[in-house]
Amino acid sequence: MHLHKYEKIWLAFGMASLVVFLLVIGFAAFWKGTHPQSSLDMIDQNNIEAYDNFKPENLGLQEVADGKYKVNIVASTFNYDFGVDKDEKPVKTIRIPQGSTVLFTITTKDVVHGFQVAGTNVNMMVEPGHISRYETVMKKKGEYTIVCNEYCGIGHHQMFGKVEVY
Amino acid sequence: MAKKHPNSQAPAANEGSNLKGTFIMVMILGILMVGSWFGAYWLFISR
Repeated sequence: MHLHKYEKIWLAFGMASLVVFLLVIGFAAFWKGTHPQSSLDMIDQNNIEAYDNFKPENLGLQEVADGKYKVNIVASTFNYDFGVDKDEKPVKTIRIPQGSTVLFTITTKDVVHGFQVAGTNVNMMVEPGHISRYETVMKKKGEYTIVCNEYCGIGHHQMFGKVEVY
Repeated sequence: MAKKHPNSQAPAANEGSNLKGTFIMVMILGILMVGSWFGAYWLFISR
């Protein structure tokens, strides 16, 4: 079969791109340990409090070690439950020191929700019956809005919160 | 023996076809695709 010189060049370019993309996927999956955020644990969505992280007193921000934090959240239509503050008011803003490692753990009581801390890599689908996790380092100061990015019903736009890195 | 139509293209005519424009467009598209892909990947890694 005869191929034009230019055809040979662009075929080689296409095949080389394919190889590069496959290598990047391998690097992400096996070296960086990237996996779907909800791939680890299952939960009974009607009894989430059986799981320690989602007991009402464990919700919200907790410092686990120096510079290490975890945030437990329960999503439901149409709210993120970050626990309550000293005055028993629902928490809507999470304050984290710059450079901290934060593990977000979230589940849902009802339908599929999203959990995105806009401007960071924290972006998860929250599925009933699954626990979603994402650990990240808050490198930059600022205010980040938390939004639900999976359409979950009529009050979808009311699901939000804030992360403040100081 | 069938007489050749005077206008029929012989296979050899492809040899000389000019693919320069096609080549340029293919490369522009390819570089755009690869560039935007790596742009998004860089954003993910840097955040």
